[in-house]
Amino acid sequence: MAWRSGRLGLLLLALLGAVTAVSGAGAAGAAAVAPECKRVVFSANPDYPPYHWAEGERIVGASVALTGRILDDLGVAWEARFVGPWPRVLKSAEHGQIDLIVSLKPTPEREAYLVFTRSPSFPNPMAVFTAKARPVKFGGLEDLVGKRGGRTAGDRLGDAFDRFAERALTLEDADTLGVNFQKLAAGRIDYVVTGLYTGRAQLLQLGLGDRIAPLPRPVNEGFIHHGFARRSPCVALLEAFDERLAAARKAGLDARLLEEALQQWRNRQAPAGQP
Amino acid sequence: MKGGLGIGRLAIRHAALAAVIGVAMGAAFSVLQIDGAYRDSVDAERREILQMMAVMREPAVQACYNLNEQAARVIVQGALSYVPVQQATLVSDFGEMLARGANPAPAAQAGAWWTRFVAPTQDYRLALEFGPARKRVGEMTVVTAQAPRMERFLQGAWRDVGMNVLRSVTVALALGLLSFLTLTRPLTAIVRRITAGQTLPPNAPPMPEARRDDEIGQIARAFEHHEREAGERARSLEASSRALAASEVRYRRIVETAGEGVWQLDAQGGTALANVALARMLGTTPERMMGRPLTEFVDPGDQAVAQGYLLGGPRPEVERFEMRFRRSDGRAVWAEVSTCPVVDADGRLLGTLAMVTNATERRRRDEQLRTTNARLQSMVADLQRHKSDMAQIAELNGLLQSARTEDEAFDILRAAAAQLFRDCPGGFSVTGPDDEMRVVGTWGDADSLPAHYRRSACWAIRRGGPHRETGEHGVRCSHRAPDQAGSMLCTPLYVEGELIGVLHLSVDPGTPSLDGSVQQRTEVFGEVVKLGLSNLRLRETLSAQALRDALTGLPNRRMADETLPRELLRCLRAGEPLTLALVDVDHFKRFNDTYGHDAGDRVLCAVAQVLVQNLRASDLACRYGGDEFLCVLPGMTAEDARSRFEAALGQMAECAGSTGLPDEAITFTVGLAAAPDCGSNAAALVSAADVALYAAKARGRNCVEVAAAEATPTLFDPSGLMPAGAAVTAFRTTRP
Repeated sequence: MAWRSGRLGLLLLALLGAVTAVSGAGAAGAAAVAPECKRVVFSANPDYPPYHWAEGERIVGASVALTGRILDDLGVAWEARFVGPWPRVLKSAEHGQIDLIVSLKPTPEREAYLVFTRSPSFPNPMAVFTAKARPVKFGGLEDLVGKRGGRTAGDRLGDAFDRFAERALTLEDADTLGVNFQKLAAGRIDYVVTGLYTGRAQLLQLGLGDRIAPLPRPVNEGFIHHGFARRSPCVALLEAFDERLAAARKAGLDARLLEEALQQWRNRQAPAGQP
Repeated sequence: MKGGLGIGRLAIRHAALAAVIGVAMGAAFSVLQIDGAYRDSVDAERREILQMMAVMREPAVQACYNLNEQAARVIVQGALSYVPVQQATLVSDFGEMLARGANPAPAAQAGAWWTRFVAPTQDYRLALEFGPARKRVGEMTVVTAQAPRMERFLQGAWRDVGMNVLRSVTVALALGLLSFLTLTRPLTAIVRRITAGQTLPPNAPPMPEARRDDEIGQIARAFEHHEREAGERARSLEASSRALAASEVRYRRIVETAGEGVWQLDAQGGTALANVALARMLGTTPERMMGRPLTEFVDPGDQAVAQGYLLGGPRPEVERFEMRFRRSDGRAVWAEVSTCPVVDADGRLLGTLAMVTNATERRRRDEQLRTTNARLQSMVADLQRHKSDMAQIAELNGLLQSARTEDEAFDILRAAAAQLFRDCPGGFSVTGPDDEMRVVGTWGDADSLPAHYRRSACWAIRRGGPHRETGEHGVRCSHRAPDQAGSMLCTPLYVEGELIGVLHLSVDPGTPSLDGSVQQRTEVFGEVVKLGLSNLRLRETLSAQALRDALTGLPNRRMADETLPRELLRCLRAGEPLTLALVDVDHFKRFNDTYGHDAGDRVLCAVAQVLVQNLRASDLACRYGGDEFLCVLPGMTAEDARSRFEAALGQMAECAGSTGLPDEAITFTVGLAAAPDCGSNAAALVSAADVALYAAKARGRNCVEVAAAEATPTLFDPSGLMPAGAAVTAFRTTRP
């Protein structure tokens, strides 16, 4: 019976080892998973300055700056990769080809394949842009009734605004924001509702910054979050990101980064000249 | 030649062949054409679809790049507007369907026969790549239905095949017509002429075709040439056939009337021809023989021979042999047969021709001649044998005549018999004492006879003539061993009614029995032996009579005259003494006168007996004449001799008065002379003994006196050999 007891002992030892490994993994938490996520590849809408835009095969902008800092802080290698138009970015995350989409609005259908950070990465307030030559008094949404507005097709500007606009506002959809601003500058519409920062970036691009400006009161305070691809192992970084995003926000880093990004955007535009 | 009157078989055959070839070639061309057409239609459709896809490529790339389903739908609708397109899809590189559309399936497609050979649909795929990096963003797939194209293609194909066949048949008919005009019609005319052939008169006009200068003209001319030749040949054949028939009749008559039998057999042995002579020989008629097989006419004993000669394979030459036929009445007929094979031009055997000659009579004469010859030869051999036998027997006779004793005679006889009866062992027996036969000589197998047998054992002796016993026949002599096989001939030899002996000859079971020549030889041999032996015995008797005294049985004076010199010489040579004694009966004359001559004879016999009883066997006592006896005692001295004779005188005295003798003392006086003391030759000794005898007589008789030894000069020749008569005569003259 000596050999049998020896084998039994070996079995017990193996079981003990397995239990220890499992519990160790549980205790280690994100740290234990971290080796699986050695490198984070992320992307974003290639045309959403100043948050992020495509430059060749890379994505640059405020989101990239913020995310890069956090990942550097976490000690994880990263790449901000241009993967194509915006639907293609979403599909890539859905199929796990990228680990993270930075700074996008959480929606139920995106929740199906993305896990969003609780803390927003950036504010994305909606603002009303008017021509400086034809100022509009804006104290509340009711002030816009009777005026002709412009909107980019497919944009969603917050539930409250959308419902009100459906009911009371006169909005013309244009294919691009640029067209809306041109129409505004030409006086064909009275205002354009769009994101505060994206609008400013567009104005910089169009060179209409001196003729059109956003009104100081936003339509609403929207926020955008980071979404980790559920298929990616890097979803384990979610908690750490949450913390650091909250810290960055508390420190006012987000607004600063946005302003820097606008500068970067303008600088990038300058050599390119006016289209 | 019914075809010769119509369109012509040749033309029909040509047209049919051309039609078949035309249809086949039309079909082959059609297949090639249809194959090409089919490939063209496939290529055309492929080109069309690829062109369409090339046009749609860029919008499709954009739609896929942007994952724009609306744009994708527009593109799919555009693709579906092409008639053969049945289904179109646009798929992104994520594997998700961006747009998909389908046209209703054509009704003709389901279950059409060609779907077994051609897939009902064809897929076209186009990979969509974006930008200078050629990043793959999706795939466009178009499925076309083959039915419309196939229907178009089949319509064209059927039309093409029909046209091809029609063209081929037309060309074939044209060829047939051409063949009829250029070949069949002129050939038909030639054929008609050939068919008419012999019925045409010899001087028929030449054919019009013969004037043509092409190949048909050559054929026609060649035919006319051969026609003329054939006519001439037929006429010559007819003439030679008539001659042949006449010749055959002639030969048939020769065969039918021939004295010899003529017989022809076919290859199976059936009679193909038989003439009257043969039929008569076999006791039948030629008609009855026809067709019947060889075996019915041949003697059963000669079937193999006959079949060997008459049915064997082809033989190159004429062969002669003899065999027996079986007549219809069952008798056998010997015949001499000579055969030769009958072959056709190719050397195949058709049968055999046989000439049959009756040989029965000749064979009978031959047989007689052979028998006579054999008999003569046998007789010559017998004579020769006889002659040699006679020579041997003559020699035997001479030898027997020269034999001195019976033992010599038996040796001679045995040797001669061994020569004469070389094959017949046997023996010779002579009469012995007391009814006994003594076998004195055997030859060959010596154990066939016992050494002795009783006279009654041999039937030849009992019958008084030759007796023969051959195992089964005849009484067996008991002197033969019971287990002895073979036969035996016993021949008794009688001379003047007295049996001399028996000649026994036995024959081994394996050798031929005793034949006449042996018996004859036995008789002659027996005669010679009988005469020789009786002669010998006669001579012995005569010799005994000449050398012995008939009264006393003692040797006579001649014997003494012969013996004395011989013994004397022998003793002198050996250095031995020899004593001679002369004995004289005292007063013999008185016995004769007193008691008669018979009593005198008895006295002489008594004296002789006493002398013999007192002498040794090697000594000789003989009657010297009258009442005188002479005794020769070789190797004995005179003194020894005196004592012996004195003993004899004593014995004599005891005999006085015995049976038959006078009742008076019988005495005798002895004079002795010993050699060499009293002389070295016979005469001197006799003389000395005589002197001593007289001295004894003078002394008073009944005593022995020895002659004194004295040097008596040799009177006669030194060897002492002189005629006895002369010595005696001299002695007598000196006697007082």
